[in-house]
Amino acid sequence: MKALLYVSIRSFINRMKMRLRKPLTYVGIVFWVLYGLMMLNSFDIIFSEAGNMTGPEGYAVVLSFFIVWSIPMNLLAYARKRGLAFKHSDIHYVFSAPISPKGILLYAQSKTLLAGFLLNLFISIGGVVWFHISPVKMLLFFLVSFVVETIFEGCLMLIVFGNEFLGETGTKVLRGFIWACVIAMGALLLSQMFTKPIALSLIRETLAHPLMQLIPVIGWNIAFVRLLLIGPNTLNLICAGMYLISAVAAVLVALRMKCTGQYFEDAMTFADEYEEALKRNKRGNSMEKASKKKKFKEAQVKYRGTGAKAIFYRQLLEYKKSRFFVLNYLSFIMIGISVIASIATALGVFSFDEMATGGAQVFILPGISAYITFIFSSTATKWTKELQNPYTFLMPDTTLRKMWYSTAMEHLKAIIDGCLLCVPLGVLMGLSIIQILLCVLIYVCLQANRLYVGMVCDGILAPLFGAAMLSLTRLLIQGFIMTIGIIGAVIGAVLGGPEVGFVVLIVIAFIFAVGLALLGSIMFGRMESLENY
Amino acid sequence: MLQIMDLSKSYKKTLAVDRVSFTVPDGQVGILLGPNGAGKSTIIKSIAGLLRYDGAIMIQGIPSREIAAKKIFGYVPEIPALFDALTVREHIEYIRRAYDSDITEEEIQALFRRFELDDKQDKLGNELSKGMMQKVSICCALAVKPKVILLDEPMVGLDPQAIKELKEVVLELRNQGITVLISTHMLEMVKELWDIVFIMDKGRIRATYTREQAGNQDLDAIFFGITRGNAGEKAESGILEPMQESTRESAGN
Repeated sequence: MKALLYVSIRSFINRMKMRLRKPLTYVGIVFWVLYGLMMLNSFDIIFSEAGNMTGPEGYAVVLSFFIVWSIPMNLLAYARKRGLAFKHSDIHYVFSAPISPKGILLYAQSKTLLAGFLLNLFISIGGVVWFHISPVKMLLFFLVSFVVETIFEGCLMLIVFGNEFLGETGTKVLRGFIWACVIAMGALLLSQMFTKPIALSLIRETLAHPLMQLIPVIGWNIAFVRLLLIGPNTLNLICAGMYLISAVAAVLVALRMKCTGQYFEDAMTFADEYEEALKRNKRGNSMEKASKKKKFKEAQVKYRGTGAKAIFYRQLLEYKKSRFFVLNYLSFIMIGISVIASIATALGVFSFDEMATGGAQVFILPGISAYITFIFSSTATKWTKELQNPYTFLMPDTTLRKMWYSTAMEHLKAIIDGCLLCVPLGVLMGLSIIQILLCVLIYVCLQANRLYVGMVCDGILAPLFGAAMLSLTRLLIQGFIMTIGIIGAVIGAVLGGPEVGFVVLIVIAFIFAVGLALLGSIMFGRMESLENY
Repeated sequence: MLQIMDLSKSYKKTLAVDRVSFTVPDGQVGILLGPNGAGKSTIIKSIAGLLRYDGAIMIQGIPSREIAAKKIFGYVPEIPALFDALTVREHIEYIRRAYDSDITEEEIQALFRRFELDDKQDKLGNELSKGMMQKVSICCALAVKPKVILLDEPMVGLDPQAIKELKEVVLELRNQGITVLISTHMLEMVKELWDIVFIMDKGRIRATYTREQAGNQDLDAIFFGITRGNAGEKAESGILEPMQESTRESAGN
């Protein structure tokens, strides 16, 4: 274990040194501090006004929420031999080293220990600041809860992830047990929904419900927290006792159980996925899914033209082989929105007239388009794959044509998605054909902006920024373009009506898209872009 | 000595390795050959303790999963992966601590000089080229001071000087009585190194030869004779018949 401690400490020191050498780190620190201060202020409002959660009782509810959120999720991940961040370097240098497999598991979990410590510290300070609990009580709570919970969770992780006595069936039973606990919590929430009015307070009351504390491990942990914060009663004394007994039992089982490293094989598979996810995250595409082996249909395409056009036809062939052609989850979201809105309108549950009055209804669709573009700004698109292919750079054609034919399919997809969203909703709202067409064009232009903002960020800014800063920059640029577009649209609408406003918005978005595309096309001319992908 | 006994490994319904047994004796260099998909990587990963398997693997007579066996086992994987935030020097320091190795500072520096890493000691893992990573990986395996060492495609990515050094290192290890197993496709690179060769195909060992048995036969002639030809063709081409199961088992004894 001393070797793993050495790796952890040296890696931490070296990383800190590297980060502190970059000026952008300091900009990031200032930004996150300001953001944190802003959040501190807003938490006060959320807890006291929205949730009516004050004092130790309210604080216990907040902590219960964290417990309910994190423990089942972690345990289920461990039961599937996931959730521990092993990297290829660990497989190479740690798995084959003469280190106890249990020690290796604890090492992997310890990577999140600092984050857990800081989160607990933050939560404890929050208890004093927002819930006005005495600092001495919070210090005691922090020490006891952090130590007990860390040891308990560590042992549960060892038992669930590293056990070799349960076998496949035993692990399935264990997973079933965890799901049973989750279902029990869900059933409790449902039963509350039937007896009380639906409001945010319902979650609070469910989490504070005596039955919740009876649920093994998760509920017992809640009882332990309530005992420390609110004080003893019969129920939390018994359940907290169960929590401590189960913690001691978990320690004993974890110490005695056999673990020879049978989990290495599963951890290796997860390490591949984890490294892939890290790469995606580094380039800001955290929403892109891991590439699994997909099944493809038979399809053919006739290549019309040469040079960079081949990229377009190859993409078309790939889409034709795909199960849903060019439709992806975004398309299904569009279809979902349209279907739900149609049914709701037909049933009289919902009316667009109530949503906006005084002629403002016509702006709902551009608003939805802008919102969708904004929240999905980090979603990867297929063109990025072209930059992973050396032939893209070797192809005898101009960078501009390569960029255009790599992204042309995305614009076609945007037209289809735009139609799926705007045509049914436009008809429901009673918009004219011209207005619907303009709404589709707005969606297409906004999507083009999203695409080329992503291109510039991934290709030009990614080597300079970290993942978080990159996502933020992407949002800021996207937000900036939208703000300019909206201002232009409002002026246009005031001067010449909604159609003029739409045209102004389209022109502004188009100009930005062309400018960003020209800037982004640089990436297709230099092979270094490969290294970012 | 490295002993593989009745090793089988399946991935779901696919049998990748089927009851494979072989032994590499002390002070000998074993070569594991086979076309793509023959099951070499599965055997290598099983020996390194990375996979679940049926059968037994012994390192100097100790089951390979035991800590005592791992302490005397060095492993160079096909694709090296270094700790991003550790320097080259810190990698060796980690190995020294993990394996409780008695490697001295002079020996570490000699290793670095030999593989031209002496000016890269303070470079971080993520700052190195693939070839450099491979050199660090080899140095780490040697820093263990192993009794058994496993090299999976060790020449890939190395420059000519490093290949020359590695070959010399392998011969030195053999002279020190250390067991070496190399898995490779580069037959030319190991022709002067090998003592015993195991030829795999479709998850099984098809033939085992010692250098004495092979006589003047080239490794590639033996390899292609087994993997391409049938028994009749082999006889016509004068290729030796492989060792029988019984002699295969006794090769190491």
